Amino acid sequence: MRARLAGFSLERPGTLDEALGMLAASKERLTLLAGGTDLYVYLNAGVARPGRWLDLWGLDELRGIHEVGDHVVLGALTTYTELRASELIRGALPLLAQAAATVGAVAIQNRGTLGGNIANGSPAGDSLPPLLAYDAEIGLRSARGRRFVPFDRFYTGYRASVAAPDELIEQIRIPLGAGSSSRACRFVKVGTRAAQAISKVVAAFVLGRAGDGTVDHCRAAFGSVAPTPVRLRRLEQHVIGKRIDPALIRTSSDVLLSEIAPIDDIRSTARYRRFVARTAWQRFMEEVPGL
Amino acid sequence: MSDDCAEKTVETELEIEGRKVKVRAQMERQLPPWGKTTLVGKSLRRVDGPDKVTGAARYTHDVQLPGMLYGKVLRSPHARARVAELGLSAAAKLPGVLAVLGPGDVRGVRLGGREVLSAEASYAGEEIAALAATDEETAEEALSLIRVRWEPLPHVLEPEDAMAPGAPALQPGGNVLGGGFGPQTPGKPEVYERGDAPAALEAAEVTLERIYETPAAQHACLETHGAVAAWDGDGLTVWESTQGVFFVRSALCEALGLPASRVRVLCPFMGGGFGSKNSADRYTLLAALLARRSGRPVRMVLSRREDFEAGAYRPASRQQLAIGLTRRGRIVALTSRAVNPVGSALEGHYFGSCVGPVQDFYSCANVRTENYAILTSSPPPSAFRAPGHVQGAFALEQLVDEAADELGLDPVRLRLANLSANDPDSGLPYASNGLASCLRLGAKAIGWDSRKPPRTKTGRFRSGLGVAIATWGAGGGPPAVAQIVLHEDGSVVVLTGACDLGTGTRTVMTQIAAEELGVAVSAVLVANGDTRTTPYCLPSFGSLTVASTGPAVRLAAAEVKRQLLDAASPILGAPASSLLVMRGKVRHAVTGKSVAVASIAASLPARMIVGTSQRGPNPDGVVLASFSAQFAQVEVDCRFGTVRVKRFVSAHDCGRVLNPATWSSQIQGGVLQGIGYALLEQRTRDPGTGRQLNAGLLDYKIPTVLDSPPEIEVIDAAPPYPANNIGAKGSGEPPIIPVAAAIANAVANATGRRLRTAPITPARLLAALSAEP
Ligand SMILES: Cc1cc2nc3c(=O)[nH]c(=O)nc-3n(C[C@H](O)[C@H](O)[C@H](O)COP(=O)(O)OP(=O)(O)OC[C@H]3O[C@@H](n4cnc5c(N)ncnc54)[C@H](O)[C@@H]3O)c2cc1C
Repeated sequence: MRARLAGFSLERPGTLDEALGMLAASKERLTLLAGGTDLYVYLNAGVARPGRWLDLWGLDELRGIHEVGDHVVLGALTTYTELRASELIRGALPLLAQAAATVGAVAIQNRGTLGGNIANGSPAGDSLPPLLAYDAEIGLRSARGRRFVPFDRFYTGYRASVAAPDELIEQIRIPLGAGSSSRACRFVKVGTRAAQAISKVVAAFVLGRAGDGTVDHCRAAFGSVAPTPVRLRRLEQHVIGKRIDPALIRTSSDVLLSEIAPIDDIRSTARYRRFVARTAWQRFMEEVPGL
Repeated sequence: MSDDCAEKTVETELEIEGRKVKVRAQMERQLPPWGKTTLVGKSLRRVDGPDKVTGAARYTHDVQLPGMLYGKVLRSPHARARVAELGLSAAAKLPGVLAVLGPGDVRGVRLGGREVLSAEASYAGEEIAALAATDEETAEEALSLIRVRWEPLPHVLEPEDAMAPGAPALQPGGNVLGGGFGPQTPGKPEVYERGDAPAALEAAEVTLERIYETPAAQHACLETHGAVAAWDGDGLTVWESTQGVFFVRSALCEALGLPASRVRVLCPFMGGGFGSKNSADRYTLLAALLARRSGRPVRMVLSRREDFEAGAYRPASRQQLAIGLTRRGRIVALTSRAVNPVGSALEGHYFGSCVGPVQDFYSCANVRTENYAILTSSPPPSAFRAPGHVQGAFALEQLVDEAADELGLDPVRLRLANLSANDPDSGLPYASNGLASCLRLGAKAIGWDSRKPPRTKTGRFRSGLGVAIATWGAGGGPPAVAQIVLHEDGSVVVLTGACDLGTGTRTVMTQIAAEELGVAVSAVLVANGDTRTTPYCLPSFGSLTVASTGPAVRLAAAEVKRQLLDAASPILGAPASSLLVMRGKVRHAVTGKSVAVASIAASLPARMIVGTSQRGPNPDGVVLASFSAQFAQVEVDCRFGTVRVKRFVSAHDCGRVLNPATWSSQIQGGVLQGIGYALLEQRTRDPGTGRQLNAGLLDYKIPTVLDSPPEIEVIDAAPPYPANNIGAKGSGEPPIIPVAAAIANAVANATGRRLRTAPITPARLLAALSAEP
């Protein structure tokens, strides 16, 4: 059943400060509206929270992709279309551009935002594994000030995060070298069909090697295999300092399986998800350039 | 009727959705086949394309009437339950609610043998109560105020459970019925037999027996089911998203006790039916009843969830097939034992029997099919694009491939060697049959000669080729009446009851009328789908619209032309037989002297010419069928278990192609729908409540354009077809029939593994790949 719109009100702050002021002053929890591609689905299904909604779409302070010092800074309202089109992202953080290209279809990519994907917190969010793999930090902003939270400490449980009720996501900050072209990387999305599909498994991998061929940097991040997107730290630790060979691929796969906890749902089975997560990792390892 | 043979009527036969029916028909005037055509056979752009892309086309969903209310239905959340108590008063008191109906208010109003609101739900989603309010939100809030005390009853969702000893009896006669065109004969299967199949199987040099399973698949029409009803005194007007306005009208007349003259059903545009919109549904009657009670128009359009939960579907099947062959590959025996779970369908409820292909694809003297319909606590299924044949072809066309493997024969050659010159059931010849050319041309186009056995394939990505065929009764037939009016300015209106399901009916009828009349396409308007103003025809089902209404339109155009030439004769001072119509002018064949059509019409006492004609009988002694052979090239990713259809070739014999562009879209759409059936689509339900878990397009995945092969190559392999005056057979359903089998065969060719259960999901494929071969 759809939501009765009478229970909703929409306000449009003109500036970020105005928005932060409204958040600070409100006793009830406000709902922040960015592209609306998640929220409108909830409205239609009758599960959206009624009350005051704050439309962020007009806040230019939350837009833009910039190089600031040794970071790439992305405004929370950055859309998937912007990610796909950005030379900076395509060159320095290609996994983000690749993930953006798999989200929904063009209309959704024009409207859906990175901040919305993060705040919505679905374990299947496609931009989330790349953000984990790139050591992103989430810039939270409130009238009280700004703080940065490493993305792998942002979620506290299924769709729950450290953000306070008066905070919004202002930006996402990623170290410029995170996606260095000297590192191998891969984005994998497995859905039910070729487009417009929620991921059964989504993953992002980054791997760097020292001059002697041993692994000196590894990030392995997955979505849809646990209540939140996850970085597989034990897997990462397991491969660091080792050379990639069939034995490592085998042993690391076992570590991977011990570190994920997928479930059966209507999109897929836990068994298939485990299989695909392992296969995605194995394929990546086998195909690391220069092996 | 102004036809000269008006009084003569004869009995004739036509085949609708795999079922042969007898009707009476009036003899028609014999028109010679068209010679060189200028419009027919050309890819004329859709005449209603601009209206559709600009939003000017008004679909049922778009109908807005002054004072219109929004109707909503309360549906059972249980698979089977009795309503012990129903409290409607809180809902009725909510401001904005103007009518509320429970089972007690509509007693005696029946559709398909059932009351339109039920006090005992036989499936989750069944209609229990209905109401109408000034807006949709109020209607939905009112629904939440209805109090129901449910008494749940034991239910069964799966056919195995329904057949098990001690299963709750869903209908007094038990849960096992004969299958066929509808459930029948409690306790006994419907049996078809020719020759002695058991003995022939016993004696065959090679026999194979296999079990195939197909899922319940849903239509997912872009326009969900819906109707808008408005009363004017004791007359009722209904806009309905339907395939057949006349079937909707008769259902309304019967249920409400109204004369046909008082009920007007309209459907100028509609967004897809695929067999699920052949007649009125409960929502149609509920819209009419709520409108009568409230005195206001009522719009009852199903939400996407309702469309899935209460709507129609292709029933699942479990088919046990056996084939007997000689070593050299001659098929000598075929048997099928088929189980069709048909939900809560009542006797006679059409669902499509899956044993057809075994009976009519191949020349085989010994055939036996045994067909069961099993009642379960699910909604009743319905026709769905080539009902039965899609399931049946998935089984038979894989079995034939498995037999080819067993014998070491090429699947295309094995098929060619077993095609039947005559209809295998009746022994009568086909009016035309291009199946062998479909196979040959299709094989050439896909590069069949390069097909390699699975053992030669290694590595992660493996490519395979597969083939499958179809035969489908698609000759159309009467009743179909068309009327053409030539107005005083030379413009022409073609009136036909036929609904255009998006297939291009309006465009093709424009081409036929303009061709025959000799006027420009721009002079012709097709008005259709209105029981008050357009003449009778069957619904657009059974691939019959073009082959039924098309000939009637040509006849009506010929009749208008005859009157036009008669009127032109004195003006041009020449006998009518020496005149012809070209580019909007009547001209003398020799002298070239001419007069504009418009000025002739304007000079007539009536200021108009009207021609009305009806489709004549089908020829006796021949069988009318369309044929196709399809070829799939797939690439299997053996590590993820995914299948990509890389190329697809669809070769058809549907007689004359009237418009290559609309025809190709029809075929490509069928192929894409078949790809969904083969690889993606299945209904999943909560076993506890029977509620569908993927009731919506978010989780019921139909293919997107990215799931389509880059190219679906369509080949016209039709020999001339003499059985009607436009030379066309139907092409709506044949394109979906072989798809899933062709893909499964290609997967087997790629991997050496047989996937006998559709859809071929990654999980199933990986399981097959990891199993011992
Ligand atoms: C048809 C369709 C297909 C889709 N396909 C995909 C897909 O393939 N992959 C995928 O990952 N997602 C998909 N989505 C989901 C959705 O598009 C994404 O999650 C998108 O990134 C959400 O962004 P938004 O700006 O539209 O968020 P909104 O709907 O506006 O908001 C989502 C949530 O984030 C909160 N929020 C938004 N911005 C902020 C902010 N700056 N600070 C704090 N909270 C904020 C909102 O309050 C809300 O809770 C799809 C959605 C649809 C409708």
